[in-house]
Amino acid sequence: MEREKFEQLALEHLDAVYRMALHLARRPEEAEELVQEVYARAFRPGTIERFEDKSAPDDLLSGSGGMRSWLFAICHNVFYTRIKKQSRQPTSVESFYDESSTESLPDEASPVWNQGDLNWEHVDGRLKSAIDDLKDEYREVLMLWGVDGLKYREIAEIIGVPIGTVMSRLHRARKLLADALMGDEDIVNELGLRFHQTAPDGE
Amino acid sequence: MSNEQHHPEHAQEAFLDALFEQSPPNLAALTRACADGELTPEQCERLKQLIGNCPVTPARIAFDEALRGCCRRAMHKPQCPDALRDRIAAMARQSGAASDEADASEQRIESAGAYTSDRSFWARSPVLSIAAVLMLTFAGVLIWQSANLASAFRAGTTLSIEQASYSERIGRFVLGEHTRCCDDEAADAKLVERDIVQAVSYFSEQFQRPVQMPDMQQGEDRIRFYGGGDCHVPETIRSGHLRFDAFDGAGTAISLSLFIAPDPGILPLEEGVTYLVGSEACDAVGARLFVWINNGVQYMLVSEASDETCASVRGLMNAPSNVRRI
Repeated sequence: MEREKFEQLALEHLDAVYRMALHLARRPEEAEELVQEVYARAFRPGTIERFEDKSAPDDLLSGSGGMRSWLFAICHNVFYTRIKKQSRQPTSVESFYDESSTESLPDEASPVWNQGDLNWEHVDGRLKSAIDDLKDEYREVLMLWGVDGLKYREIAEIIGVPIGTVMSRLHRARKLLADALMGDEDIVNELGLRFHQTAPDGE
Repeated sequence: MSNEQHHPEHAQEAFLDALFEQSPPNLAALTRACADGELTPEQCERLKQLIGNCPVTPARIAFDEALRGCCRRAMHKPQCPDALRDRIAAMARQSGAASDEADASEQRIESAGAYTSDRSFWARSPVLSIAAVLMLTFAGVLIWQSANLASAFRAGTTLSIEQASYSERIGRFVLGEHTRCCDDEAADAKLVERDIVQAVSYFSEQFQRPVQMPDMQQGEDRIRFYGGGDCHVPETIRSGHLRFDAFDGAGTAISLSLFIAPDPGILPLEEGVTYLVGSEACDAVGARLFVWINNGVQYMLVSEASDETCASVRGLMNAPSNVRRI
């Protein structure tokens, strides 16, 4: 790819990369440093020559499978390399680097709620706080799936884990969010949420 | 790397097929995958047959879709700050300019090569050919000499993008910590070692390298040690922050911060030279960042003092007098 086109495309995804950096690092100053490092790596001449755009020909701007996923992968790697270097990684991060680790995929159904009176706008504040409380690996997968609309296989490539692990983390993240939203009886009543008793899944 | 990572699309299809083959099939995971648009049309059809007319499946799918929309709203807001956007765009321009220059030189060399490699050029005149060889030899000697001279007397050093990014990070970090610890209360909390001899001993042991500090007796009318403590300079495992108060000719005190760490080797620094490191953060507040290496220890001095006071303090700190801009 030509350098000028490469740079233009890379800069179009700056907001998305910053968003990911902020969700990983949590602090704006660290996120800025992370983004700067990501682009410093991306703009190296050798890197540009090696870059291969895998996005669909009619979907260059979304960057799906191409530039955006590639920048996300750099962001993920730089962040976790830094954590490793600083020897302050949480225990759960160890599994990111262990290729043999796979998380079992639970046969557990998503919640079923009566959504007749549900007002999602009112849920946003509580959801934000629940997202902040998620473990890093759950929040990262949730963001890539929910905000950036990436496919399981793209997320797996970015963070370097098997697809089953992506599905498992995504399910757990969603379940934790659902539990957090529904854990407060007042909220349930206020939002008109009611649990439907259902038969066990898989039957 | 697993096969899954080599052929992710086929691997995903195979993985989801395996969920159908489980006994009983993992319908929960398959339903979520279906709602997320991850199943092939054939897999969707197979799932429909398994689920039949389950009354709760549509509600589950609707809940997941609503949750996804909610996540998008809750997590989508942060946007890249303008200052960072400008810095990244400047990095792109800088790397683009460097690349264009490299391409242009390559083209010039190639076009010259195409012309001179033509046999008729050299066959035209043997005398001219000999003269050309002599001139090229002479030019080579001149270039070699000038390169040596340049390395001995150059006024500045060009950084790669990664190095420039690192120096910016260092500049922001040390300036931030320096500014914070100019306040005595913050300094007292962080810079807990008040004896300079103890501080030297502590950091020499931590770095396993000798650390050099100003001779306080010699310069007691010009500089006073406030305190030192552990720090976390980017890309270093151990580092220290030492605050000094320097006095100008009128006796006015001004705080200086000296950060020390084993040299991480990221910046192209030579021993025997003090580098004035360019940093937007420092420039913005009129501070300067001087960096030098001694016995594998990197010294970073942040100063807002006048040239004269700063030079005097650097002298006391045994910083090399040869200053280059980087």
